[in-house]
Amino acid sequence: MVTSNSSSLNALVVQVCQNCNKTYYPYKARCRCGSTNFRFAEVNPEGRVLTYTVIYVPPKGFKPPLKVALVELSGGFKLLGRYDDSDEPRIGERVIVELRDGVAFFKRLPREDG
Amino acid sequence: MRTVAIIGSGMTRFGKHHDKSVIDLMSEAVLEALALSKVDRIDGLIVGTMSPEHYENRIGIANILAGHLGVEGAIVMRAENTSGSGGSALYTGWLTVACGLADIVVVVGGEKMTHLSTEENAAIIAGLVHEYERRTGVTLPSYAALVARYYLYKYNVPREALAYVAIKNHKNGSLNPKAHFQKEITPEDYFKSKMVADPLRVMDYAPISDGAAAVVLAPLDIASSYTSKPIVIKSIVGATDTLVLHEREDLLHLEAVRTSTQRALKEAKLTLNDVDLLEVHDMATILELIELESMGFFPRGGSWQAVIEGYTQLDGELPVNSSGGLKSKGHPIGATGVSQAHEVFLQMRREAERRQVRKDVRVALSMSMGGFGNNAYTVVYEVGW
Repeated sequence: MVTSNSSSLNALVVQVCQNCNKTYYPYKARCRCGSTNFRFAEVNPEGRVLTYTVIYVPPKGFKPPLKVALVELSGGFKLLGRYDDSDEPRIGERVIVELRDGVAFFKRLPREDG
Repeated sequence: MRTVAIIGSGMTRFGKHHDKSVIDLMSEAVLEALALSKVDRIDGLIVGTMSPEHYENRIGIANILAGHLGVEGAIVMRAENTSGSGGSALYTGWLTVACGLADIVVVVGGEKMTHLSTEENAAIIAGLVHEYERRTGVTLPSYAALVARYYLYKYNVPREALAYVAIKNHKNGSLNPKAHFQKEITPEDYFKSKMVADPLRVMDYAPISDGAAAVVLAPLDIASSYTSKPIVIKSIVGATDTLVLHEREDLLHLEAVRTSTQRALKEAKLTLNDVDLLEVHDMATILELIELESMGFFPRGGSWQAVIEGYTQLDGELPVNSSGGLKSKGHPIGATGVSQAHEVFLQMRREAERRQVRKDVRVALSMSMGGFGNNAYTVVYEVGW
């Protein structure tokens, strides 16, 4: 497992290719461009829900209904994770990501228009 | 490279075979293909299957099958690419014949799944997604749901669009005596079916099936001594995409499908316009739509209208999944890619009986892929007479 100098325990630290800037989480051994030189960086944890699903027949160990979302963070980096709210997600809504045991959880942010 | 042809094919019924092992199923398909092709020897046997290790605690499946079929002194091996194992097995068999290393090569795909529960099957298949994704609770069916929701949202598509893919494939399957489901469905059946991962329902997904399919390959120059109607494999190309879904630039595009299709057509010196019939990997209804778009047959967000208008049905301009597809024919994982070649073989020879497509099929294309388009093999076929 690659370690990092993350200052916050639950912050998302991504792997960035030094050659092409492609960003990864989870981490890889080699970038699609061929480079193996990476740096690790915290990213802005805010983003928007690109798409989501509510799973009624989840794998063993998960309770239905299980909500998962694919979120685009600021800067265009996309990430799959659990949606942590009692309400159903909405496409386009603002969320903030935190990691729990390495898995992304998204929490709803207040609407910009208040 | 030599030109390679299919000279015979066979298939078990897909569905539930309580009394048969994967070896029994594969043997049945191979014997049917051998009987049809009338070959008197086997120089090579390529076996496509995902996980007999998990399903039946069998290792060295290709050797077990070779032993059961009395295949001795031949080149025998397994090709594995999860749901696209059939495609990678066809590739390996085709390559072996094309290179001149063997003449008569049997390619068989199969899986025995239904003796395990849906939960046990889900747990085995979950093994093919990235560990991170698995830890979020997402597996292949929910990937499809994430993509389906985005497709419906982005192109403002009614949910009925997905139902029509299922309805069309069930109609084709109802005419296929070897399909798992031989029953038409109505929009009401579709909308009454249980939600699995919103917006996708039970009726959006391929079932868990047992079954096997086989083809016999030979160089074209000797194929005519076995059959007057050989089917030429013009090209087979494999290509990969990212394993992790969210690494993709565009969630509605399957790059491996696009690349393998474009390259396969280029190698065959053919274009999309030449293709008369398609067998694609509709593990979920949404996949049929985005595969057709990724291949380039329809503009982005445009394939669903073509399905509703009947363009892809048996009497349409471009029949898609005349066999019933994974949705209705069934999806015994390793068998699927080989069963696509079996369907093309029958359709080109006009031996598909009640589901025979209206148009003359001179060129066909099949696409067999692993995971969610992680690794796609596209095959281009042309009549060989």
